[in-house]
Amino acid sequence: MLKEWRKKISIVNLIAMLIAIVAPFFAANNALAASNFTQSMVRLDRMQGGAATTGTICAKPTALNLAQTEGKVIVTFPAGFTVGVSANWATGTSTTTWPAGAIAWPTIQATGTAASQIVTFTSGDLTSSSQLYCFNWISTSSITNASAASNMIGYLETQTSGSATIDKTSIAFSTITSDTISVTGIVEPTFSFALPTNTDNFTTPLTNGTTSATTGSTATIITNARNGWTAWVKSANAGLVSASPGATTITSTGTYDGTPTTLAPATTGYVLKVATTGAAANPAAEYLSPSVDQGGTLSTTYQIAAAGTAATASDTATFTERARVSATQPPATDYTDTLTVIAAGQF
Amino acid sequence: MFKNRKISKLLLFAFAISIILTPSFASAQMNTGSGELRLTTSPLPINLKVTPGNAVSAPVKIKNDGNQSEDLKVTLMKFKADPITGAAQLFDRQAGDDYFDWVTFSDNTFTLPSNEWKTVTATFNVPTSAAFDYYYAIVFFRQQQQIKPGDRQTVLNGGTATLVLLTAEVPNAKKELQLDQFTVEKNIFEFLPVNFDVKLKNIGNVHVIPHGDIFISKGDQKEAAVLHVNSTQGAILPNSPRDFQISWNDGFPNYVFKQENGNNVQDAQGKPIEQLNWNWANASNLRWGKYTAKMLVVYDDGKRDVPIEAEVSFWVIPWRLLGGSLVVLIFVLVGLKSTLQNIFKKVKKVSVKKEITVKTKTKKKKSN
Repeated sequence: MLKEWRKKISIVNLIAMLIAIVAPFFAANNALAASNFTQSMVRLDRMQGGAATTGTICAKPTALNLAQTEGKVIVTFPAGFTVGVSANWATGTSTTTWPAGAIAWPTIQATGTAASQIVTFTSGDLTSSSQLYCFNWISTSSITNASAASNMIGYLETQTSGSATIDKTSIAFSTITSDTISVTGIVEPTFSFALPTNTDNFTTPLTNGTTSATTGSTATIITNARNGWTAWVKSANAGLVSASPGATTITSTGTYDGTPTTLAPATTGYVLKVATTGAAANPAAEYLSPSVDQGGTLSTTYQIAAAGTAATASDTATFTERARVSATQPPATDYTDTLTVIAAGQF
Repeated sequence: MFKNRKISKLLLFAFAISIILTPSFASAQMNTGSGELRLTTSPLPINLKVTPGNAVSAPVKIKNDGNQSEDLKVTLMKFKADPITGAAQLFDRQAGDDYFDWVTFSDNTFTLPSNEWKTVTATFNVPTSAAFDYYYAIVFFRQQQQIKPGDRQTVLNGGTATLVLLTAEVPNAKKELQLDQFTVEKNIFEFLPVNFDVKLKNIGNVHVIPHGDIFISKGDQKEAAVLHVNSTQGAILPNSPRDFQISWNDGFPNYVFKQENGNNVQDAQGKPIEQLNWNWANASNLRWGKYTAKMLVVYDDGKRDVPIEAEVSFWVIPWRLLGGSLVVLIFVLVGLKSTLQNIFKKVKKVSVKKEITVKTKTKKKKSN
């Protein structure tokens, strides 16, 4: 009887030993069934400790477990992160910040389910082991970062719809004190002035018939001066002078009084017309000369020629001299004058 | 053969000489004072304050934006504000302008290669006798400006200036502004803009920079609009006025300047042409009724902020819109009236017919 019992016990022992020997192999086989992803990331859009953030989840499944059909993707955030309620875990597939070559995670759930530090999204099958699949969580109400710390461990996992693990990996989360960089720049106040040519030709000889005019010389002003700009003009002679024997000066007629002077037929006179372009630029009233016989008086002291009342990307002021002579004006080919134009940003 | 070689040597020598002497060769290296001048200066008007008996410096940067090297010179001029208009007037040095002698430059002449900046430092050695304001213009010209014109030619020289407002701080400086004018161009407007003219005169002895707002209200509507006065921080020089033109233009519809290629289109008299702008996004900004504009401007007199207040009223009556609306309303009322009349007539006809029918039936019954 005792022998029989001993035999039974030893059989039980033998079976138990066999089980003990074989069990680890079964356990090992179970562990091999889940593997790490080939590539994976859980990226926070903001890294500042305490900041509410959106983010991106990407994964490339291993070839080993490709035959299994994904039904869920689960993210476990480290302790310290504040996970929002399920309604805040809306997803999106905007590709703007994804790694190159990534495509949208198939059939990712529109809104995940949050429980404690774990957020679960239902998912379609990841069919390629060479493809990176991504999706975003798009609400800043979904998660708030933990205080600044390095290498806080969380997990990313795919499971079948029956909750069997397919791929799983640990993810190191790091947050920092500040994720913004303050940038300051200086825009210096500048004033640019360009005068393309030094000389200006009367296009026709000066006669007592019609008023002659020069081609015109155009100054360009570019400035960020808040109060605009002013251009002044001064004539060297207040008239057209000639060095030829017997020649007399063709004097600039009128006075600088805000009203243009008209060059009447059979009289001698020399005036300046200023025309501007630019929404806030205007010639001085003296030089605003709508008629071809009109112009402003030139002076040997500086007079305002034109002004702009605002910053400009390209105001222009064109200076055109006009002259007319009486029938008795002595002939000469060298009647000339020198104008000096100065421009400055307004105070 | 020997002769030919000699001739070719001579030709080669002549060619080399012509290359050296040719003007284009020279101008490729250095501007001879003609051609395009392109200069940029920075900063813009410089405000300096100094205690008499001390020196103050200001760097003025200049850039040659042209495509050839420029020989430049620094010239000192002065400016002041016109006592009537307040516009800046520029002057060469005149007799008695001793304060020109206070100024020295780190470089009076220099060569500035194409596309390069140079900083010229202006130093103002202000004597103890100095007081109040001094206004300078630091002008950059070409050194060589004596261009010989051809037949029927005039010459244009260009220069760019940086204005400097130097204040010698003394205890008896007087900062005082007076309001010359706060007006609108007319009393009744059909549509915006309404242009305000604020004319302040400096009756002190140093420049002042005022700032403030115009608050526009209509009846109980406290703030129909707030407009800034002198938001660009313009200065008013002593013994001169400054006009601040402020436009209230966020109405619907509103007049805007007609533009082509970014420029205002002008009429035969050179005045900009206006056109009505119907921006339906601003439809809620239909302005009508009596408005009151209250201006509050302040300036620092050295001890405290001094306020200047004024008020002006005006009407906005969009009579064409109102007239059009009235015509439409009349048409609607007339149409409504005739429609109702027709309906009443029909109802009356039907009731009369029914009455006749009933009467006829009654008669028939009676006769039976």
